[in-house]
Amino acid sequence: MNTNIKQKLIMIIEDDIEILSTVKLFLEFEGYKVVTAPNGFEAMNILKSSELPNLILLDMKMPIMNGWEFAIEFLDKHDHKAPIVVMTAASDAEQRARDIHAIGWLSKPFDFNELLKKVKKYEK
Amino acid sequence: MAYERERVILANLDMGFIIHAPDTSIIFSNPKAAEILGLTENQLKGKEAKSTDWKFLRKDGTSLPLEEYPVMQAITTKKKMRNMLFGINRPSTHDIRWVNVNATPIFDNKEEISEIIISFQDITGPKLTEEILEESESRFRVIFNEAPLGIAMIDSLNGAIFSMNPMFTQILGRSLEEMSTINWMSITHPEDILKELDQMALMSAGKINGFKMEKRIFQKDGSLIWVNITIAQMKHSPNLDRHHLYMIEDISARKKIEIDLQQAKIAADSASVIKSRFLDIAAHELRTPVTAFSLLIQLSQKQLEKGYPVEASLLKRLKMQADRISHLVVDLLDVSRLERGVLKLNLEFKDINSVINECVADLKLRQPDRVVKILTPKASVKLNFDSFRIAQVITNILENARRYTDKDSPIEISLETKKKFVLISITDHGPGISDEQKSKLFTPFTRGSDELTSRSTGLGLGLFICSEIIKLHGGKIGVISKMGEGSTFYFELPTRQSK
Repeated sequence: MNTNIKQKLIMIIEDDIEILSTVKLFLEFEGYKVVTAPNGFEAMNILKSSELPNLILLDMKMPIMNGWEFAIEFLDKHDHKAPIVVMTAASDAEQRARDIHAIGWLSKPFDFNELLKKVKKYEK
Repeated sequence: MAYERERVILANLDMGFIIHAPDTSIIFSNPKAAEILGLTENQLKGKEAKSTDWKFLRKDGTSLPLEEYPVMQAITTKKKMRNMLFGINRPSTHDIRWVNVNATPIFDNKEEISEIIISFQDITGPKLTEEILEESESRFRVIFNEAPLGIAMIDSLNGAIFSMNPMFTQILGRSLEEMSTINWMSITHPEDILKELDQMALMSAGKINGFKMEKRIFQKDGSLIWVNITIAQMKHSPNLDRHHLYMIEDISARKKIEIDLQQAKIAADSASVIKSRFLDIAAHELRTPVTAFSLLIQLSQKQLEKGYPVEASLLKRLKMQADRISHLVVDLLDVSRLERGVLKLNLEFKDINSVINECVADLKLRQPDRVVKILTPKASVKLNFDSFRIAQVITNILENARRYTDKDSPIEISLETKKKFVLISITDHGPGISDEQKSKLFTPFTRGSDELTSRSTGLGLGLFICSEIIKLHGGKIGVISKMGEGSTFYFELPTRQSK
């Protein structure tokens, strides 16, 4: 881990606490700075005060504010300044990504190698 | 010649005249007879009634049998026959002449028939039309009155009915008199009025001559029936050109079958949509713990690679994900068994109190500080039941109460023994359940589509499985709930049950 280079920031929005914590831990292993939110609403709140992340990993099915609603609000406020990668258990992940104009998708269940590949490919 | 005068008269008479011998052979015919019959006088001479050179018709156009020939009738009855109407199908010109026939038998001094005189007048023309019309009118009357189809004549301008047959009366359930005071729109189903008005407008504009449609009408007693109506212009009769023919057929029976089939199809379609949506939800629900499980394992691998030990807490987290998966799979298997009718109870004569206590103890393991009040009789309550399945029911209800209410809010479980059953109730003080939710609680695959986009844990099958288990015991399950006050789930188990 080279501390001289500014660490990239990844935002994870996911309501399943085990998925959220393991993905976070893993990305931290890989040298990323991670910020998490259990739903879209809290993510929008965090984004009010924090810098824009280099990538957003977004779950779709969540309480309070789901992935669809978050994407609409985020794109409205920030355009495509942070790329969004959808993490979904839906049968057609690619369609889900297209629905919300996301740059990429991860189909659940996924493994860390896939996750890392997608993160490296799409991070800004 | 003694008869010369008569011969001249007969030759010039504008009436057919034939004399038959008793054996029906023709002795004499005049020229008019030959003309009307379409044969020459020579051809006629000696011809018998049974000859196939001629064909006679009845008024209705059917062929006249030999025994009804005027000459035959005169011979058989020995009486004069007057004004019989027949058609002659003429072999030479292939046309039909209509004749009015008289037949007179002549007797000798021994009272035997010596000859038969046939006289006939060609009445093809106005006279005939009148008679044929009368005949066809009476035939039409019979059809009109007996037809299994409602027939009416209506005024083309205002639609007023001025004649209708008994079937029409029966279908409408109203008499002609009653119909004269009713506007057709007032007895037509509102949804069908516009369609009919459109057709009538097209007809008034001369774009169509008539139309057919299916519609619903209200009978006098208020019952709604389906009818097929046909409206046709009667333009071929100049006297009737301001009239329309209105035919009506009761098709309620056919329509009912059609509607039943349609509803069955819709039900089948929606059942299949519900099932496939459920499969989508089930796959989705399984993927989440599988993802967590697989990520946790990879995380442990990473830790081991980096030389860190795998912590006990990580194993506990893995076990939790495995439990989540196993719960989902067990529920799916139970529903599958229930749907196939292969879920069998293992009935034992046991104390149900101890089962309640075990279930509460299990809940305490998951949340030690939760207050659960047990209100059960001190003595054991023995009955025949499947302890594994009833524990499943109690645990499911208790776990719902625990999860959907505040962690400090108490839960009560009670057991009451009634005359024929025991009543177990589990009461929470949570947010309560709306009436709309209540109706779906015990039904499988009823998760709304909104739940595809918002997180809800599990498959929503738990209470359905509970209700089926209680039904298999011959008992009842239900819920009483008030919004903002809490819910009581209860079930009854009969103390005596047929195996």
